[in-house]
Parts: sequence; C-alpha cells; structure tokens
Amino acid sequence: VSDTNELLELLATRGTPRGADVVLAAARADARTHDSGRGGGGAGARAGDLEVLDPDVDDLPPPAVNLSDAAPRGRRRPWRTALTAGGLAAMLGVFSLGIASFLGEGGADSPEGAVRRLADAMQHEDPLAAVDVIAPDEVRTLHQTVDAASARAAEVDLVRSASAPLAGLDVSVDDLQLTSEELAPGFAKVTIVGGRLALDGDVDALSDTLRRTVSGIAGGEIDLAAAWDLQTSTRLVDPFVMVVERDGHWYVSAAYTVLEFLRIGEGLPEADFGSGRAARATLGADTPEAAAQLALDAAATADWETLLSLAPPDELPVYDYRAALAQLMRENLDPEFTVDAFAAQATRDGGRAVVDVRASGRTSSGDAWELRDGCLLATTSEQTEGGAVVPYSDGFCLGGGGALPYSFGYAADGRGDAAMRITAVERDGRWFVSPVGTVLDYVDTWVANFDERAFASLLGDFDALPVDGELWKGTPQRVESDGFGLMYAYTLQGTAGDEVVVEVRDAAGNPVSNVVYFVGPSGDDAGFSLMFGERATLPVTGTYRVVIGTDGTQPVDMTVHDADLAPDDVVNAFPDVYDNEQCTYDAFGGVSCIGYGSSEATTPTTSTDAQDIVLEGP
Amino acid sequence: VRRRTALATGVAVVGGAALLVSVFLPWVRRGPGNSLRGHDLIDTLVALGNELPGASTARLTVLWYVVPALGAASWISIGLTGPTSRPTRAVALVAAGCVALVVFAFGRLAGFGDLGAGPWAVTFGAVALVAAAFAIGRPGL
Repeated sequence: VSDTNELLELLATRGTPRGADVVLAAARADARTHDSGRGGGGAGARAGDLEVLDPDVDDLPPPAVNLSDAAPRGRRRPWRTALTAGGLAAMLGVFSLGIASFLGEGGADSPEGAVRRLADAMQHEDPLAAVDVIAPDEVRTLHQTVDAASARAAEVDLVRSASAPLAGLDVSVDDLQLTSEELAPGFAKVTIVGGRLALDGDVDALSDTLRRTVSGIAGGEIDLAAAWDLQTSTRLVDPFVMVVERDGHWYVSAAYTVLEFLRIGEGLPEADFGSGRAARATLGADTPEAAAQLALDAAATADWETLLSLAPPDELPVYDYRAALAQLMRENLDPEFTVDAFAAQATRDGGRAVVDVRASGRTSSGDAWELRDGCLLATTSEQTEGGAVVPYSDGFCLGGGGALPYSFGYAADGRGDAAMRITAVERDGRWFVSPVGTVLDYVDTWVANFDERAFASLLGDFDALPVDGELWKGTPQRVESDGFGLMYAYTLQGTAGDEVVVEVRDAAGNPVSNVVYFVGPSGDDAGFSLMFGERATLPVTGTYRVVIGTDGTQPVDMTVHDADLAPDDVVNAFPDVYDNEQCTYDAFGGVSCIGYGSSEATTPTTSTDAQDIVLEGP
Repeated sequence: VRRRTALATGVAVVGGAALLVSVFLPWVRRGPGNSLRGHDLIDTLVALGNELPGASTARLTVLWYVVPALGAASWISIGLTGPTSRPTRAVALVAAGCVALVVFAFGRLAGFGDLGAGPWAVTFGAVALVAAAFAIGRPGL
C-alpha cells in the first residue's frame, strides 16, 4: 500500500497539468519509444508487462478484459492481521505489567509466593532482591547498610566487586514445597514440607585477599523440611517462615519468624497478632529522651511489659508477643540494678532522633555501673597480693572503627570511641526506641571506618598490613591505635639464636596484655607470639615483622629486648602468670588471670606451659 | 520489490520481538538486582546509591516499559501499514532513541560490564527495526 501511494504521489506531481487526451497520447508515444512490451513511463515509473494497444486500429473496440481472470484486489493478508493482533495483545500485556509494577511495592501476591521469591533471591545470590521481599518496615534502612557494606568490602578487597558481593558462592534451592496457614488476618505461617538447599563455592571467584586465607569452600546440602533443633529447648520445630500482608502484598517477616520460633520452642503463650500496630498511638513515649529513660527504668525494675511497649510495633513486633516474652524474661532475667542518675540529649531529624545517653547506678552487689564514653562499665574492686584494694572496670564499649565494632572485658575500660547513642523513631506522634535503627547506625559508622588494616587484622593476614615503622631492641615504640582489634606492624632486624623478650605498657607505665606476633624474614617462616615477659629464640637471621594487636584507642609502648638486657620486672613477669593459681586456660590456648597487671587479662597465646620457646627454623 | 519488502518485514518483526522479550530477560548479569525486572530492578539499582543526573526512578521505570511497548507498537504498525511506512519508521526512530537512553542509563547504574541479556536484546531490536524501515525496505535500493 505504501509503495502504491508513493508512486501515485510521484505521478501526480511530475510535469505540468495537461488534459486527459494529451496525457494518454503522450503515454502511448512514450511506450512505443521503449522496447516493445517492456513499458516505460519515465523517471520514477517501473517496468511492467502491459502490452501497448492502439485503440484506433481498424476502429475496433479495445479488447474486453475478463474481470473474473484479473487478480482480485489484495485483501489484508492473514499474517498481517495476526501480527497486528499480536502487537495489540503484547501492548496490553506490557501496559498491564507497567501498571502493576507501579502499583506494587515488592512482596508477592500470596504467602507462599513471598517465600518462593525469597528462595529465588537466594538462588541468584542477590541480597537486595531478598531485602525486597522482606517486610518493608523491618528493613527500612537495610538498603543503605547493604550498599555501604558492599562498597566498603570492594574497597578493602573483601569482594571483587561491590555489585556482586556474593560472587564465589553458589546457592541453589530445589524442589521447594510449601503449605500455608493463616494465623490471623494478614499473618500467615508458611511451612516448608519439602526442598533442599545446596551450598557450594568457587575459591577462584573470591577476591585476592580472601584467596590468601581461604583454601576452599566446603559445599553441603540441607534438607529444608527437616525439623529444627533450637538447642535452647527440648522441642523440635518444623521449619516455617512467617509472612505478613502489607498493602495487599505478602512479605517474609524475619522478626515474626524468629519470635514465633522462640514461642513454639519454649512453649510460650500465643501471639496477639497485629495488636502492636493497632495500639501504636497509645504505646511509646512523649519524647525521644523519655523513651530512652522509660526503657532503662523498665529494664531496671523488670517491668517487661513496659519495655516491650517501647519498641516500634512495625519494626520489631515484640508487643504482639508481650505475653510470651514477658513470661520468658520473668523466668530467665533478674536485672537487679538501680538507675541513680540519667541524662539524655536528643537530636531530632524529622521522625527520627539520636539520643546521647549518660546514666549511672548500682548493681545488686553494690558495684557502680555507668554508661559513659561509649561504654557500659561496671566498676568493682579487688585486693592485690600486697593487700591494697584497687578498683577496676569491666564491661563493653562500642567502637566507631577497628576490626570489630565493640570491645569486651578489660579492653573496655575507657576505650570506647563512639558515643552511647540510641536511635528513636516517631510513629503516630509517639516515640519509640528503635533496636534495629540503633544497631544499624553503629554498623554504618563502623563500616564507614573499616579499611585495609581492619580487614587484615580481622583475618590475621600479617602480609597485608602496612609497615608502620622500625623497631630497635631496647627502644620503646609508641603504638597509637585507631580502634579495637587493629594490628600494627614494625620491622626488626634479628639474628638466629637471639633470645628476645617483649614489654608492652600503657601510657601510665602499667604492663598490658597485648599479644605481639613475630613473622619470619621470608614470611612463611614459623611465626610465634609473645606476651609481656615471655621469651623466645629467633630461628633465623633477617628482617622480622613484629605485629602488635591492640585493644582500643589508648596508646601503648612496645619494646623488644634482648632477654639478658631486659628489666627485671619484665623478665620475672611471665613466670608469675603461669605460677598464679588464679590463671585459667581455655580451649584455644588462651590464659586469663586475675592479678596480672592491674586488671583482669584475657590473652591468647601459642604457649601453654613453657616459659622459653625455642622455634625451629624453616 | 516483493523480496525486499518480505525481508524488511521479517527483520522488523524480529526487531520488535526483541524489544518485547526484553521484559523477561535479565538486565543485570550479576550482583544485586540480577533476579529483578522493571520497577523492582530500578528501585534496587537506585537504592545502591548509583545516581544518574536527570533520571529519577519513575522516569527510568517508564523508559524501561516504553521499550517493549514500542516493540508491540512496531508489530501493530507493520501489520497495518507495512515495514517501511511512515508510522513504522517513526516507531523505529523513537525505539532507537529510547533504547539508547535506557541502555546508557543501565550501563551507568549497574556498570556496563554487568549488563545482562536485556540491553543487548533491545539494542539488537532497535537496530533491526531501523534497518528494516530505512535501509532494507527502501524503494529504489
């Protein structure tokens, strides 16, 4: 059709306007000037098979044309009709998909569909797709954390690419069979009645750094339908996943799943599904500061119902499980502490607030406890061998950097470098303490500060640590750490047969329990580690790498001595540790002593009973 | 002429089909979003913090759905007016423009190295449509 139109347009616009007789005469003349039977027509016309007839010959009428023999005017061919219809149907389908996509906000159309989508995301090793099918209230800020963690992991070579953080792992979910049961309107329990989860991996797909420390990935297969043993109770629980309905879509709820497992495993009362969301306007507190104080007071007085009412019902549905959880807490927790002082300062940003908290009080044994400087500390006292009573603090701290985002025990004493902050959220004009938001805010801060040193320290990959300086025997080296668990490396010239001893002291001159690792000149020599006063003989001559692990941001001074030149208190310190009856040894070769230094010490060491360590060379 | 028209029709239909099936193909080969399509996929990519100036989530999503819609439109146009008609040529040109935009956007968001079969399919489809409408079926060639 389009070709005919073009020809007609061309024909209509060529030459100058003339009468019909003139046009026909010219056409006949033009036809005769061309090859007989070929036709013509000038530029733009096409060759044809029409014979040129002369109507004047013998005054005969032009030959009759049998119209029945002429080719019928082309009807629309069937395939074109089909193509048009197919196009219309496809257009309708695409339009429907687009509309559904804009109206939908993730999730699935059915409870079982939500679980299958989660399994599909696992199979594709796509964490963000998994997040998309988890209840949106529970993972409101998880996208940001996953993104930041992926980017940071790529920067420190934990993963090859931020866009493929799980590359190297091969997860498959096969033959998944599900049944669902509605427990309440908008709440369903999807039981896994069949299926297998297979896990495998390809070390070659891991990052270079991980390949140095991971020799292989053990594959395995899990029967997804096998009953789960929660260990904490005697009951076996058939595997299930809880799903919730939000705006017409079904989502997997990690929180409801965990809570329901706990409830069934412990034989606790059933949940009052949806009661928290329904009563949201009557729960929580008037201000973020009040929410934080109410939470602390409720914990101190074992008022578990009040404590549970301070968690955002949409984020953590503990209020729905208040009967079960309160019973569990009454049976297992006995807080026994007082809150004597409390101060909070909230910084609001819309419906979200960060609350800096300081508080203090007494434990049931009379010891003081305190929330300060990013630490929760309990201060008690001990009697030294000399009879003096000295106080010491124990607890844990939150760190904004380092190999781990927290530190425990002795290391906690005043070494927190992150404020003790609680994240609060506003719902329907009421303020709630947000456990998920609080944790994720700390994780985000820690991830932002996670670097190559933290990664190498976490893995114990001494080769990847930067060299921070050179050690000289007998000369103290100041070590200033940026966070808990970070390691710092120094070089030391050593001669085979040299006997060395290590001294590490804090800024006040007290001995501390940092572990110092010696790595041989070739890197793969037999390495060893020393603690304060411990001696070892260097196996080979060359440049050693001396690595010290740190317990926090307080600086320490490290000195490597020739054993025969070391101060007496250093040389004599180590036997005291092992002779001390208060020292205990754990299954990992670590030693914990009361009375060592000025505080409780937890120190891993490669030695268990030898004072002198003599190592064989390579 | 008939052979050219038939060839142009075939190529154009295949090109339109390539645009259409892109709805079902993976647009990201690996990493976050590789199992997602359409709105969910773009939400995920934008959530990753990758930004493209001037391209909001809604605009990109519309563009992503316009591409297969143009595939369907090309079938309708070919069926009604032929592979070299003005409507088909218009559809081919618009498809080429949209495909260029959407492939560029996804390349920037997910990384060109991580693009899946979807972008390749739509690129092929747009090229085939344009070739059929303007070159293969062109009168006088």
